Amino acid sequence: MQGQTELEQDVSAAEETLPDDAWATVVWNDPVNLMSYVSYVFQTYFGYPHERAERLMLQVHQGGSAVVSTGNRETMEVDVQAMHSYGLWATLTQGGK
Amino acid sequence: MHGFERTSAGYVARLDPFERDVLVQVVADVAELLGDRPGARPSGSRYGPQAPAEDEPPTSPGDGPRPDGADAWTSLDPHPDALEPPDDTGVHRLFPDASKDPGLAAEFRRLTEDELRRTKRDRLHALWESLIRLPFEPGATELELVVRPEQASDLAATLTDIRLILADRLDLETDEDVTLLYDELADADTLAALDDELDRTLAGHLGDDSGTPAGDDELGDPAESDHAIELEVRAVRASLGTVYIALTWMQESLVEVMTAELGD
Repeated sequence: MQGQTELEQDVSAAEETLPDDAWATVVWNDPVNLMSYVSYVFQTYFGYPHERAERLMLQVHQGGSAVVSTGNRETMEVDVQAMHSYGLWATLTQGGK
Repeated sequence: MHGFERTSAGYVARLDPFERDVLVQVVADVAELLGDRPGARPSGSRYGPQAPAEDEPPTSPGDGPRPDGADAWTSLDPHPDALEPPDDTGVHRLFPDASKDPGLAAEFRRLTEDELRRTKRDRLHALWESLIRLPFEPGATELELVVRPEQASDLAATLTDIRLILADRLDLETDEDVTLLYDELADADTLAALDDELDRTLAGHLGDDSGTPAGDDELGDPAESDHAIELEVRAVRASLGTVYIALTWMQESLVEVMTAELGD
């Protein structure tokens, strides 16, 4: 991911622990997407507050990936498709796999 | 090129006619990769200051409102058969595998790729139309691309798609690769220097300074020929890299004005 890197903050705090059968949308780092754009997408598509969107964006950028939403499979499929529409690299996982 | 600024007319970027022509070509090339060459079908400009006419017909059967649009999932438009992932690595990045599980990835692709492809093509097409229709005032040196705030998200997404394809062609796989590209092109004369060197090398192949046709040397020394090819590859890379960096800058300025609107 490309952009300003002065937004250092603690991103080690894990997202909530998921039940084994829960589905999740995972967004992966890439060298093209702008940090500001990824944060914008998290804010506008998921409706996340600025702070949470920035934390997730930094987790993607620095940690390589982040769980950005959880729910049933159908909802996660819609979220992954939306991420692909925005040009973000997203996958569907179940039980953290 | 001047990045996007907020004005009373919307978000406005300025580019000179040459930059516009380069951008038109790149947008058309990416649209063609997705199976649609702009210029083949009429449609209204979505990025101009004017909204499309209300009675304008959808540009293809799938573009109209969906009768069952209440539920996003049931409104999907599945492909009847399994779809193979795109062969082109850049296009594959635009439609990535949605799971490590091949069966799940294949099913997701069958359900979503046609609709995603149409969305991306329509966005590229809208940008292309806007660019070729930019009004040029006599005496002006720059063209103004005006984007209404409600269109900005689509434009930011399509700039991402274009940059993803260019990044694939430039072999940008890591953040470090991008840094190296910026370093590579930091010298503003890189392109001109490559062009000059290429011209000299080709001139050496084709004849002497007096311009007489080359005789026995027409095919050139293989080492020199390799050198010419290498120079050409570097010149193409520098051109693509320059466009990539310009589009990155353009998108950064757009996202900045979009983010300011969120008011958080």
